[in-house]
Parts: sequence; C-alpha cells; structure tokens
Amino acid sequence: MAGVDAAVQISELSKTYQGLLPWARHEVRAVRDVTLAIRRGEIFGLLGPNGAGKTTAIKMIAGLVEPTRGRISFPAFKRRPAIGAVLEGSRNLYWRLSAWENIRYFGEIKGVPLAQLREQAAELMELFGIADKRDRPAQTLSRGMQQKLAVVLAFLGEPELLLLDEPTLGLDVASSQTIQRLLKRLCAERELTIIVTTHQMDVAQSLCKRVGIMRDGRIAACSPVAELVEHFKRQDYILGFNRAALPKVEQHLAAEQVDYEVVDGDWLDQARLRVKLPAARAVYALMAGLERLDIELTDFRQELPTLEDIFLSITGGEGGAA
Amino acid sequence: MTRWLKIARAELVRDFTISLRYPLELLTGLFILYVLFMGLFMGAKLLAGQQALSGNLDGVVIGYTMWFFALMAMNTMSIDIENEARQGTLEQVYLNAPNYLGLLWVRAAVHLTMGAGVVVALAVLIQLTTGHWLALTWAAVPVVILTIILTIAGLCGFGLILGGLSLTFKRIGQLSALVQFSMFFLAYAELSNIALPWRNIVAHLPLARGVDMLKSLLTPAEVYPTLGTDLAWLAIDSLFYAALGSLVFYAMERVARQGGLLSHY
Ligand SMILES: Nc1ncnc2c1ncn2[C@@H]1O[C@H](COP(=O)(O)OP(=O)(O)OP(=O)(O)O)[C@@H](O)[C@H]1O
Ligand SMILES: [Mg+2]
Repeated sequence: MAGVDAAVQISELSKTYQGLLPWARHEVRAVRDVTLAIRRGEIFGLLGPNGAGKTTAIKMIAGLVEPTRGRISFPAFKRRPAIGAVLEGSRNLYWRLSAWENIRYFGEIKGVPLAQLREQAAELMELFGIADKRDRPAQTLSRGMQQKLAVVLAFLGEPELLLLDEPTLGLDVASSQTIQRLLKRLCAERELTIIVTTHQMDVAQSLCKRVGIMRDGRIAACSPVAELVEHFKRQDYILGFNRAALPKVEQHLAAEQVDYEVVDGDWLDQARLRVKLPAARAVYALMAGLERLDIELTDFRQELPTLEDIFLSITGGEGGAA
Repeated sequence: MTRWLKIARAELVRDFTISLRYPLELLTGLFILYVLFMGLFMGAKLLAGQQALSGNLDGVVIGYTMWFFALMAMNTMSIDIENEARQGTLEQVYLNAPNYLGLLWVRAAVHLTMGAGVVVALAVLIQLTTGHWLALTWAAVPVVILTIILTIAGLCGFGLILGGLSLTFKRIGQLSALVQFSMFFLAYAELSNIALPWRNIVAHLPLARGVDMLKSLLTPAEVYPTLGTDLAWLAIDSLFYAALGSLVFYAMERVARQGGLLSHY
C-alpha cells in the first residue's frame, strides 16, 4: 500500500496537545502513531467517534497543527500539493461578505485568476443551488447554505488534495448527494485526492473506496470498504416464506439446533427469519431441510454488515453514527 | 510580485465592501472620535487658559489624529487577528495565502491607506470646527507623509507583538487596553519637556518621536535643523519594531500551531 506513488504518506504521526502554561499542563493525546498511505485519486474516509482525533489529523496534513512526532509527506507531488479544505464549514466564511465576495477574496489570495473565479463561482453555485444567493451576506444564509459555500471555497482553483472535515454536515439529502457526485467526478477526471471525515456512515460507504476507522487517536482499522464488509461478514441469512409455514420452520430449526431470530415478523403475510449458521457449508443442510418440509421461499439472501455495523463493532459501540 | 499585488487588491476590495456595507458603523465611529476630540480640545483650551499658545493646540490636534491612526494600526495587527481566530476565518486565510505574515503586512498597508482617508477627514473636520489650522505647506507634504508612514510602520510592528501574543494566549484584552492607554501618553509626550536620560528612552518608544517631528513640521515658520537625524532615527526605530514584531509573531504563530490554536478550540 505504501510506496513512492502515495499522494499523502503519513508515518508514525502523533499529536499531544498540552497547555501552554507550565503550571496548567494537561496532556491530550489526540493522535497516536498513525501510519497511512493515501493514493493519488483516492477518496479516503476517516471515521471515528467524537474526539477520536480526525480533525487533528486533517489539520496536521493541512499544516495548521504541528505534529508532536512523525512525518507527513506528499511523494506523488514531489512538493506541497495545492490544498483545498473545508475545516469548520460555516465558521470559515467572512459573515459580512456576500457569497461571491467570499469566493473572490479567498480565490484571489489563493492566486486564482479573477476570470476563472467568476466561471467557477457561477458553475459551483449553480450546482449547489445557491446561485440566487450570490449577493447575500453570508450571515443571512442558512447553515446548510453556508456549509455549501464553504465547500465551494474548497474547490476554487485547481486543488490537488482536498481535506474535507464533515463536508456534508447539516446538508439536506439532495445536496449531500450532489457533493458526493461532484467529488467522485473530480476524482475520476482530475486524479484529485480526497480525505474526508464524516459521521454519516451511508455517505462514507457510498463515497469512499477505503476508510480508516479511528479510535482514541489510533487507526483501529484501515481497509477498502468491501474488504471490511467481507471481514465482518457473518453467516447470517434472511429467509422469507409464507407466514402459515412459520411454526413448521421454527420446529425444524429448533430440532436441527440452528440459531435464528424472527425479523419484522408481522409484515404482511410473509414471515422473515434471520438464520445464523456456523459455517457457509451449513447452507446445504438448511436448504435440504427446507426442501423436505416443502417450504416455498420468497426471500433468501446473505445479510451483509453495513459500514455502520462495522463501525460500531470496531469502536465498541461508543458514540456511533447519530 | 503580481501575486502580492493581487492579494493587495483582494484586501482592498474586501475592506471597501465591508465599510460600505455598514456605513452607519463607520459614521458612528467617526462621530465618537470627533466628540472625543472636541472634549479634549476644550479641556486643553481651558487648562491652557489665557496664554493658550497655538503650539499647544497644534500638539493636541496632531497628537489626537496620530493616536487614532496608531490605534488603527495596532488593531489591524492584533485585535483583528484575534477576531479572525475566533470567527474561524483565520485558518482558511492561513491555508490559502502564500504567507500569512506577508498577508498581514499587505493587509495593514491597504487598511491603513484607506484609514488615512478617515484620518484626513477627521483632521479637516477638527480644524474646521476649531478654526485652528495646521501650517501645512506643499513643500512639507512629502516629509510629513514619510514621517507618518515610518511612525505607523513601527506601530504595526509593535501591534504584531500583541497579535502574536493574542494568537497564543487569546484573552489579551486587558493588555491591549493598557497599551492603547500608553499610546495616548506617548502621543502627548512633549519630548522637549522630559528630562534627559528619560527623553532618549521615550523617543525610541513607538509614536513619540513621530508626533514630535510632525509638530515641528507643521508649525509655521519654524526651522527644523535636526530633521535629518530625527528622520534617520525614526526609520531605524520603526524598522527595528517591524522586524521585532515580525519575529515575535512568527515565533508565536509556531507556538499556536503546536497548540492547535489557530482556531478557537
Ligand atoms: N486545540 C486543542 N487543544 C487541546 N486539545 C484539543 C485541541 N483540539 C482537539 N483537542 C482534543 O483532542 C482530541 C481529538 O480531537 P479532534 O477534534 O481531533 O477529534 P474529532 O475526531 O475531530 O472529533 P469530532 O468527531 O467531535 O469532530 C479531543 O480529546 C479533543 O478534546
Ligand atoms: Mg472533528
């Protein structure tokens, strides 16, 4: 996974916050020994409960917080890449300036030509549905609109690395999906590298190829979402059949000593069971048994864990997704 | 180079937009300054009594306008930075600008050039209502402007020290109030009335020498034989403060990054 082509190479990164004054020292070990390599063109999700150290890690990559130990390098770029960031969303705007004035100011100090800014502003604001808010002071926009504007600011110019700390915070479903689509498109078109934190597991699951799950400052798990799902997959199967056959099936399963539970049983005239098998091969016996009882299946599938399930089991259920 | 010019333009546009969007704020500010001055002026007249020398009144006008200018310079370099940290824009500016300290100096230059408009307006208003006019000749304009720029540059440097401290220690309201008060003192320090060992010390503090020079420059028909030396010292002192301020700020910025203090946590 490591190697020269990593866009962001993080090695044994640690951050301990300590009070400035010697008599008021309180150490917080926010990030501990994190080693990660993020590929160019990858959307990497950083997940974890509140206080896990995600923001700290992102700010260290952005150069806003100095690491206590460890190194961050950008091998694929051979220099510091152009970074776009959403750090604290609505708080990162000048409240007295209008949407366009914010875009113009931050774009210009970033060195983006004015003509390009105009173009990008029009395109992005249109995309996020805030084009009609162009000349309204930021403080009069709703929280979600402010968040969108903050996202627009991160896209200005041609960033090579995007650092997004909870970019979809407070956004409605459609806007959240717009951002996800845009991120995916830019990754594909421009090999943009994105590191994103979120508490919305569905966003992470649909957006990120790979996630790192942080807990107490450490990376507790880091792999492609598909592999995590594979790893956490159990031999749980959902069976659906006519409700009338329920007693018969239950009797059979009990006799075979198969673990099961009834799921949303009073749903129409169909009964559904979650059957927990000891091994994949046990499916054959289960099927044979059901065939003997002459049960007509209306549903049969393996139940895969969601990222949310995985997250909760890795972080020990502490502060799961809201 | 063009990069920095663009940054200057961005600052100018931002500054203009904000002051034009909230004109009432600007006007009330100006009004308060004016009322404050009139109080001061009346007081000075009363104290001076009959033998109110025009030189004293010159001092009141010059000291006051320069004091105001000084506060503006220091606020730009300290309170404004703290506000930005509190609001949360500081990190974003920090991330996007090529160099934050450089941006601050550009910002100060732009902001204070605009502020000079306010200062001039204030000075004219004051002179109109008091009927007391400073003797500014065209020939003196370049030296006067140079003196003001040098004085203000030194004050900006001084402000940066406060700005650096505010970045790391946050609540420095008390300290900056104290400094503002001291500035008032320095603006009205009559250098020639101070006993010698002290005079040299005060002269090297921010603001004092600049105001003193302006008084000489704006007093009618007075020869000013030590102008060259004064100007040289002013330049040296201001450069020193600017460098010291930049250095302190740079160091404090690093401490702030270690503590994760660029945003109010
Ligand atoms: N500037 C700071 N000074 C001291 N401690 C800090 C600072 N910033 C963060 N911390 C502490 O570091 C730990 C990690 O915080 P961080 O903000 O990185 O977590 P997070 O994963 O982003 O949490 P959340 O999901 O709530 O955003 C927390 O215990 C927090 O209290
Ligand atoms: Mg966070």
